[in-house]
Amino acid sequence: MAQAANKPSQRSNSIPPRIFAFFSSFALVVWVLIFLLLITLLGTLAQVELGLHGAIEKYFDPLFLIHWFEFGKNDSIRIPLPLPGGYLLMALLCTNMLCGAIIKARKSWKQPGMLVAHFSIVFLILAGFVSFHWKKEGNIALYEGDTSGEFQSYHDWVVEIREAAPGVTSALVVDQSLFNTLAPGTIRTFQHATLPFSLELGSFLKNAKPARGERENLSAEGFFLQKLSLNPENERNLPGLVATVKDPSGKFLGSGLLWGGASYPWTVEADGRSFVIKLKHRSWKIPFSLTLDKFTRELHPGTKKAKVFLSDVTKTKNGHQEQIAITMNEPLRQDGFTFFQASWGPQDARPGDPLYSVFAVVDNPSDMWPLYSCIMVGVGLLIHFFQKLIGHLARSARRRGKNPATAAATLPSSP
Amino acid sequence: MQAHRILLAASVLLCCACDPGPTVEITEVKDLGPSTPLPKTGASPESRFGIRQHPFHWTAPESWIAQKTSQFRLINYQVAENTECYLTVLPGDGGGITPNINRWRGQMGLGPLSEGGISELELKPLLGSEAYAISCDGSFGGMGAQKQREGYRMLGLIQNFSGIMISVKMVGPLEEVKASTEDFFAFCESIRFRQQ
Repeated sequence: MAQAANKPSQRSNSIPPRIFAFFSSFALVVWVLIFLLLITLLGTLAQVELGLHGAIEKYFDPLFLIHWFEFGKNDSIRIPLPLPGGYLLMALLCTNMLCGAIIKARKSWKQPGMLVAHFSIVFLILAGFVSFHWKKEGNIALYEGDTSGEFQSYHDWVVEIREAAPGVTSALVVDQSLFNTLAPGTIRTFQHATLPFSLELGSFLKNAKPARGERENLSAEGFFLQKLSLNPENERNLPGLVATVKDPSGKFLGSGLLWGGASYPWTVEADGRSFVIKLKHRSWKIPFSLTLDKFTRELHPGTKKAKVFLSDVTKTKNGHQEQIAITMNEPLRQDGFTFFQASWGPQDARPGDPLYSVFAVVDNPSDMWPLYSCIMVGVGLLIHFFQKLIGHLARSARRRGKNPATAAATLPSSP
Repeated sequence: MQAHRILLAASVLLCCACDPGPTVEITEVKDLGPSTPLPKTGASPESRFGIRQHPFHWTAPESWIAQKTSQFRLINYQVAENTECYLTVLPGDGGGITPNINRWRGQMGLGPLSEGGISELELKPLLGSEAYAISCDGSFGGMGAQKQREGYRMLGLIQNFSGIMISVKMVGPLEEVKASTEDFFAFCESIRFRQQ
């Protein structure tokens, strides 16, 4: 925690020391912890309605948020409460720890343990920061005999544009952060030097399904995007948006619906070339390919409870093959990626039906940092308490040395 | 105070910098690899979205939520929390108009109508023609229902169109159905055979 170890004798009027004093103050950490407690409470309650991912997205990911307290019949009375988001609070906490408990704290050989422990907590928060920004999380689903060299995100979507011609080896990708704020009626234009058209994306809906008919700003090709309520399990939400293609002179070439559940991409003809455009989960490559050789599923007799889920896979990298077994409690850790045996399907498969195995894949540069941090905290506290114990014993010994009668009186009498 | 102003200005600048603007140059390129198969081109919206070519076209209110259809229920909507509206097609005479209407009345806990009673029913537009219209209030115990649901209303239109029995029904709690009655008849009037 923040410490005011070296109190300045005089308050400085220049800005940098005042900013430093603010960020290292004990008052700041108290407020940060109060707000953390509050958003943790509100975020936990919101999970009932929003689900885990929705609650994290609303309360813990942003810098700021507005929580609405709803009262009365049909929640007719709504009172907004602006709050700092989890991201901002953790950034403030980290800065406060760094300024107050490490930079500002008195450094002496008497307190190395506390310094190590505080540094470890800063390291833990940094692990969260790295994980938040750079962690990739998704899955691979493989039938026996299938091979894959990439995994798909659970939550992130992209619009992928590629030319449908032989020999094309690249595709253009538009990240969801560039279109997921486009409410119905608003558009953003995307272009690239290699494209003979500009692509307008708009009217993004987080969960939708196409239906026949017309709706203002939501229609194309005789279908419209029907807005659905958000599923608390975010993986089940299928987004949609409206796409329009125009040639460089602004002439309309066509419009279509892009939907997350579509089986095939939307085709666009421009300048005598065919392009396909698809809204799909973001996918990442892994530095090797994985082939599912055999999937074994054993259930406890008479139940649907898993006894054994085992995937025998072959990892192929640079022509070198390796046989590996991935089970429920033994993930495969390879080249910074972790593959967990997550599930299988189809859930309604009958005996003899081919099954697929699903691996949850995590690529997190700070995967092991929390473990290192916890070990460091433990070591720091051990040093601290060991020093305290030694100090206490030394003081006791000194007291006994000064006044043997008192010291003897405090000793337990022998039987 | 100055420090707070600096922080505020920095926050505003940060927020402004986040908006990518109305036109964006695509910068991300994904390597597909040499063995990526050619994607399917020219897929119709029906095949892309897994929706078969529908024999009807129609207009439904925006608030109605399309539900999964089935072999006989070719149009299916959730109208309100407990109210549904669907179009059913039965081959042949589908058992006949009178038995069907009496079956519906039975589902609402009402007795059958006589042949004369049927002929006195109001006619409403459906598929460019006219169909028998019923409105029954009672306790609903439809197909598969575990218990009777009190205070329900059923609106229905039924007619035989060239050897195909077509009916459109809305069933739900009285208040919900009352609020959607106009929408129901407008929906029925909008339905057309696709080949027309």
